[in-house]
Amino acid sequence: MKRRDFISILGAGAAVASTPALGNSWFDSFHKNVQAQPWMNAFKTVNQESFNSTAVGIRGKMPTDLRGNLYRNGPARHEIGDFRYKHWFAGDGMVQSYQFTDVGIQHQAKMIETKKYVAERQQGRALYSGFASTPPNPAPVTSPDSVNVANISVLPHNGKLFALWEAGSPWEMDPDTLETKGLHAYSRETRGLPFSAHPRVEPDGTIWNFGYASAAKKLIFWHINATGVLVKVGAVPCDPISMPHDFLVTEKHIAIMISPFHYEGGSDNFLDAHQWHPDQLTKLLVIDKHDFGNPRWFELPAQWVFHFSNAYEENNVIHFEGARAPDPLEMTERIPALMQGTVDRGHGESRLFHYQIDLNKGRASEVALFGPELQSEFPAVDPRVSCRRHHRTVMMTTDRNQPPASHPMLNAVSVYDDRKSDIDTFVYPDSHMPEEHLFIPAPNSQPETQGWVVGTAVNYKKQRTELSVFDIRGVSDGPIYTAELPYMLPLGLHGKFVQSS
Amino acid sequence: MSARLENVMNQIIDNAKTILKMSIVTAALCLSQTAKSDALTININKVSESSGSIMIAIIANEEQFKNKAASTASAIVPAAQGSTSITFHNLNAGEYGVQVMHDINGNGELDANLVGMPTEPWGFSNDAAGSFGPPKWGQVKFKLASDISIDVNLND
Ligand SMILES: [Fe+2]
Repeated sequence: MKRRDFISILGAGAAVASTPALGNSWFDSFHKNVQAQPWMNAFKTVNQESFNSTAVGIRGKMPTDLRGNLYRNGPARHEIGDFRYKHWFAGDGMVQSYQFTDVGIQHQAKMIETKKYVAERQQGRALYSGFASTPPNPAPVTSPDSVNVANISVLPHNGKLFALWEAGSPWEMDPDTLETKGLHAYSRETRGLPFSAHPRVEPDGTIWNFGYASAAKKLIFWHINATGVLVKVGAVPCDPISMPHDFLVTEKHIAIMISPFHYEGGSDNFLDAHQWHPDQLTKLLVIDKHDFGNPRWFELPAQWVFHFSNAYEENNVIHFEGARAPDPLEMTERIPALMQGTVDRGHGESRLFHYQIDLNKGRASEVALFGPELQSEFPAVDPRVSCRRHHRTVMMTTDRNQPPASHPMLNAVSVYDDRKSDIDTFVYPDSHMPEEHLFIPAPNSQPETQGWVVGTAVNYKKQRTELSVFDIRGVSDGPIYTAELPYMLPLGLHGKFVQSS
Repeated sequence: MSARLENVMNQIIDNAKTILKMSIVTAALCLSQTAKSDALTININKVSESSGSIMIAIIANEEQFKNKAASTASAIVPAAQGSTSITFHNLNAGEYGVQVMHDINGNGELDANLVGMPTEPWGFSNDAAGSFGPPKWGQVKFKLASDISIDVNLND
């Protein structure tokens, strides 16, 4: 890096740092608006280290062969003192486990003791410039892992449990006690490399992942075997670079989408260092899976996709679905508004598209699977068909043709089957803000046939977090089992289910 | 998140590599100095493991800090987990800064990962750290007017 660039970046940082009151305005606005908009309680900060309870309010019967642990993660500490983060994605992670036992659901949650969390707890104030805002008198950030909040997802693997962020290392957690064990490195040489929150895990336990390094303008790719040993790590140049959140793996290839939301620097927080270019194309990079080589680039119109369902290939054509938005405004505008309660009722614009990358013809294409009335996000598939042909996708939805909920988040869970014309949907009561739901296979069944849809929801009217189990063959029949925690936890992001054998 | 940080780390690594190369040259220089007044003891803490060596460079001005001149003194000692102390004798009274690296695998370099961030520990006097950049000379420097002892905590 040139000295000149370095000086100019420091200058830009200083300009932003001179407006520290910004964070406090989010605090004031949140606490004023939450009175009139009770759904905002789902974005209230957690101010305690842990939660522990046996679920109550049981309705229905838990299937006898649904046993194991649902691990979940999400931002939970949104405020430190009177400093409130401007963005949902900035809060410190809290890992949870819902243990499915013969006598019900046992729940635990613990704040992840990252370096940042521990340092801020010790000093009693927000210390670091983060995802979208900067506290007053910020402390120096010496490495990405020094501000790694581990708040996006979990990766249970080979008996271990990791909490994942996307710009740094995994945090290893104790899968039973949820104690934080420390930063995990797959080798000394790979310490500190970005490891995304959306690894793809094949049915045999092989892990594939990516990471993005904005200033280095590189994508990192990971291959880890079923016992957690690093097989290969590689870097592919990517200029311009965006902040890809998810990627795709097929039997033979890896694909990743680079939207024209480019990292350009010039800000002390990460989000504002990106610029949206609606007049530019979205790029898709395809590389060979076995050696991360043979890069090929494809083009699509400008768009933004947080999450993809799963990918597979047939006759040298890669297929996948993604929750496609026309732009990243959900992240840049709407979520910051949500965090202070100034958002109008409404929804993000993401909906499920089917994509094809034709490796023979050298072109990519996309088609909307539903009309603009059906918003969707958090697509998930049967883990037994990960990285191969799938038909069924579980996703969170909102049908805009139906009466609106009294909160601004998606309000239903749907199962889409690409062999059927209709989707099967359960609409949650108006009091509930459902979180991600997963496809949990029934033991000894054929892939994508029998199993359950398991997910949580924040009942903001009753101030409880609830867990629901549906039969995958008929979610519209409603949950076959529900349980509630004697408390409400903040709306979270992603989870994974570990089935007992 | 990591963006500017990576730049920073690249710069720290560049600094470190240069200082390291100079240290080979200046070590002899250091030993030949005579009849100076003060002793500087550096306690290097948070040494994560007992492999490889710890490299210490004494910097006397901003020119040296920016790698435009050789460091004033330097030393290489075997790494020992926990804390290690080293004393530099016969330094003139004045302003100094200290940069420390732990070369764990003994390859003579501060290793970096695929995006240019150090994968081996490093530290500066005053535990100076830059935000989105290496620390400034003003953060690193301290006064030597008598025999003193300072701590450098390795940043891992
Ligand atoms: Fe995600």
